[in-house]
Amino acid sequence: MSDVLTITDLVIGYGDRVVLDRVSLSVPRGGSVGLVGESGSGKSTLARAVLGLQKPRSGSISIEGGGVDHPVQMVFQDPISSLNPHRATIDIVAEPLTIRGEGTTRQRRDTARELLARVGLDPARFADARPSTLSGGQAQRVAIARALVARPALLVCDEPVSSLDVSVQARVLNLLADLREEVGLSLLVISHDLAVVRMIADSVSVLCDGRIVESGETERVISAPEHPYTRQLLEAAPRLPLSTSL
Amino acid sequence: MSETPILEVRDLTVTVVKHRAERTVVEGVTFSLARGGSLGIVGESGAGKSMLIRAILGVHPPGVSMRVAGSVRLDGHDMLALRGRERRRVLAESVGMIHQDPLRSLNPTIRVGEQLTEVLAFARIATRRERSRRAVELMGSVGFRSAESESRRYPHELSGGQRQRIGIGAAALTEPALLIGDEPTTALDVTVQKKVLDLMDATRARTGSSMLLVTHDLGVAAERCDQLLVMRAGAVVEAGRTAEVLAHPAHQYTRSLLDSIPRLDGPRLRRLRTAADGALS
Repeated sequence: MSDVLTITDLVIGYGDRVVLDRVSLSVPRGGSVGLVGESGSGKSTLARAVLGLQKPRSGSISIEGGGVDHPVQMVFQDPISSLNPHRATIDIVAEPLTIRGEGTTRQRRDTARELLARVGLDPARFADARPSTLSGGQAQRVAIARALVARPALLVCDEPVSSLDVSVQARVLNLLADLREEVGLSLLVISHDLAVVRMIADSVSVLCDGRIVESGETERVISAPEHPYTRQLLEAAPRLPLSTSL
Repeated sequence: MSETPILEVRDLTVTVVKHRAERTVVEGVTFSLARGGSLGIVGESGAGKSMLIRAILGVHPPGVSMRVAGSVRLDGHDMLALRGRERRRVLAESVGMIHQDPLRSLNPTIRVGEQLTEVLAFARIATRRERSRRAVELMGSVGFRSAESESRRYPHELSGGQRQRIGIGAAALTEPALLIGDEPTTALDVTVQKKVLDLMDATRARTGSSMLLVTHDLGVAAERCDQLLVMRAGAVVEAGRTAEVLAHPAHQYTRSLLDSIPRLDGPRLRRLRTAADGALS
């Protein structure tokens, strides 16, 4: 299987400070990779670098885009503030097509309606809604629809559910899992939460102080962590007893 | 139990009046917290958790007027009957409050050590010299290794975890009978969260205080509290011993909350079970 994203020996720094130190990571086509780290680990810098917003000091990032202008799309932590407050939902979702000048206005709106329906928002109810009238979960669905309309080779999700309530979080995670299966979406999921990554990603890299300290199949990393920092993360995570209602 | 509970809340109802519109945000909440016990109040946004705490403390959010009905007995005092100075005296003596963002409750222009001496002044610790000594001692007790020099730092020079440790130290300073944490670890990384929660447990073990822990994180409440109160839309949907509630949730809402949390143990789930009832949110 070919890789959509290949990061090789990436180094990023500001002045004397090295934020990412020889980071290597790849996302296979149709695959889902998690990147776990705490504040200051460099995970958001890595997301910015993948989007081309951060210039590496050395190393390389290559994206197999399949000829699309913007092969990487991003979903952010705070969905409401990532949406233009003055525009209707349907125009927000259609925006990447508008920028590319693809199709007629009507065609673009039809595509946007399809995508709203795809992420579970009834177009009849939500097409004309403004972001301020949406809940956090609805806004995150709009952000996902807007990202998908651009037909990206890779979707980068930076803490996609950490600002949402757990019941809403579960629905957004299920949506991402559905989209992986149905659209063959390739995902890079950045999160502080190993349990979220476990559900959504087949493999995971653990980032600590700008270095990847451990990588592997998600289940292996969680059940038999090799690096002391990974163990520390797992031990610190609050646990619930296994539900008996299953 | 022969001792009176540290906190007894009966049929508490809070109505918020804003722009002439009335809204009931807490409805008929009843619970009691035994001395030395710990109670976790859990729920999602809009459950009324913070308003419940505000009503217990008698703190109104700015620009909002609140009508509180029912009864709140704190350390034997009828809180809703007390006014002004009397109520503040009871709160100062009996309650230590730990907020979500300790930076907001610290003055950014004053060195942290001095802020602690102010707290000590409130607690009627006599001399300035003694207050400085106690402030450094306190920072040492919440894990600052070079407390003497760290007490001369400003709040922004400390990490979130360090500021929250100071918040806990300040809250526990007078050894209040009740510690209230309002999402005290929500802004922190998991490894820091664990240290802060461990510190709260250690503080309680030392002072014998009870704890009311408000959190959106069921895992945190499950690990740290012996009683749970699950709230939704201003009302209590389920209450009981933590182990019992988690093992045999009686209410559908509690079950759906438990199902929607991704787990690190057990079989790997490809989809989480979500509540079938609610409108898409």
